This record gives sequence, C-alpha cells and structure tokens, in this order.
Amino acid sequence: MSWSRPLNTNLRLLLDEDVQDPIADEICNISAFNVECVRDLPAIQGKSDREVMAYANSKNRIVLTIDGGYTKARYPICTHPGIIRIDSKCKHSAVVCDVIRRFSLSGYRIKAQHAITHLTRDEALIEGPDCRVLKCSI
Amino acid sequence: MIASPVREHSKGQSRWWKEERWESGSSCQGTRDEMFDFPRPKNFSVPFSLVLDRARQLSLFVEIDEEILGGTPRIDNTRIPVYMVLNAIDDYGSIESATRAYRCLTSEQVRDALRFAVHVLESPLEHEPSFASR
Repeated sequence: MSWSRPLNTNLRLLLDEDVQDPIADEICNISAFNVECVRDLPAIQGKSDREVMAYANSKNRIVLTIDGGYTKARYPICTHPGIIRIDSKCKHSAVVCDVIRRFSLSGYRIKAQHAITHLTRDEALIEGPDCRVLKCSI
Repeated sequence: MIASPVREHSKGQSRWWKEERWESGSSCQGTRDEMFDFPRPKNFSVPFSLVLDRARQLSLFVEIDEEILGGTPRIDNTRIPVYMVLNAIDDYGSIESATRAYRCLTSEQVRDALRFAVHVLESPLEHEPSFASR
C-alpha cells in the first residue's frame, strides 16, 4: 500500500440508473469523486439489486442511488463498500446536485465508506460500521 | 394524438370495480373478475398488490420485479422507477423534458409511466372500511 493512500479521501462511486442524467453529469465533474455509471455498463443495466451490488463490491465502489431498497436489513454494514442514498424530498436535479456537492466538500464524505449514508437537503445521516448513527449538517 | 391499444383497452376496463360492486349489490355476492381473476371484493377492499399488478398488465413498459429496486414499479429493462419518471415530469414540466432527464427513455415510455399512475390511482381504495371510517 502506498504511503499516500490513507490521505486520499476521494470516493469511488457507482451511480445507479435511477440517478437522472443531468445529476450524473454533474457528479462526474466533482473532483472528489471517481465515478462509474450503471447506465454506461450494459452488463448490469436493468439488472437486479444484488447484481449491481456485486459489481460495486468487485470494483470497490460506493453505490449512489435514489432507490429506498438498499437498506441495512438487506445489505448489512461492512459487507459492502458503502451505500449513499439521496433521501431529499425534492428530487429536482439542481437540489440533488447541490446536496451532493455540499456533501463532497464536507469532511464527512470519508465516513461514507463501508456505511449507509442518507443525504437530505440539510444533513447527512451516516449509519457507520461502529453501529452508531452520525447526524451531521452539510 | 395517436390512440394506443393500451389506452383503448384501459377505457373499457376502467370501471371494473364499480361494475362489480353494482352487480353484487350491498351483500358483496358478485362474480369474480374473470379476466384478471380478482377475488370477491369483501368489504369493498382490494389489496394494493393486486392494484399494482393490474396496472402493470395494462401498461406496455412498466414492470415489477422484487429482485429489482425492491419491487418498486419501474420502466422495463431499466432500473428507473416510475416515481422518478413522474418526478422528472413534475420538475421539468413536460414529457419531452423528462426524456432529457433520462436520456435512455422514450416519450412513449414516459407516457406509459403516467398511464400506470392513472391506473393505480383509479383503484377503489376509497371503498376500504379503514378509509371510509376516518
């Protein structure tokens, strides 16, 4: 392992297909994220949740989704690289992009690894590996 | 506007529960809906899963699979839920704009998502005792 690796807080993301294209384009431009999109991967396009999660596991990527099906009950914490769910009531691309941009700039983004993160308009709720829920404003 | 077979089909079937209720009268002794094999409407209630299933049958591009998106209705061959398509129409104001939000969707698929929502909302939930008693 390189000495600089722990200092790298950039997140490797897998954008689910339910994320709107303008949002996906915007996220791809955020330097804090290394992004791959399901819409660009015919192998898992339209496939089941498990297949998408298996791909994310194999590539060590955090799944960023809008779908509420990725719960702690189905995907226990620490069995995957992480899940970020956009939970804001307003799903307009401008609002969602703003939420993600603020989260990317916050110091909490590194805590999304191996955790389940719920992003709302003002805050991030991170269910971490230590079984504690971290509630932080972004 | 081009009338699709689904829309014409749905027109003929849109009042299925009312017809059944009228035929059955207050004692709820109506016949089963043979086409979709609906159970007898005990207490005038219909399980939501049946409502979704019927709406899915009347839609061309909407599918429901428990393995994909946890069973949320979605556009066929994609992982795009119907509610996000409706959200896109609401946010962007038109069907054409919604297809710009999801570039892999066609306007016909977006219209079908709307039709699906219509079929769900025309379900007889108002006849459920729990709703009526409120």
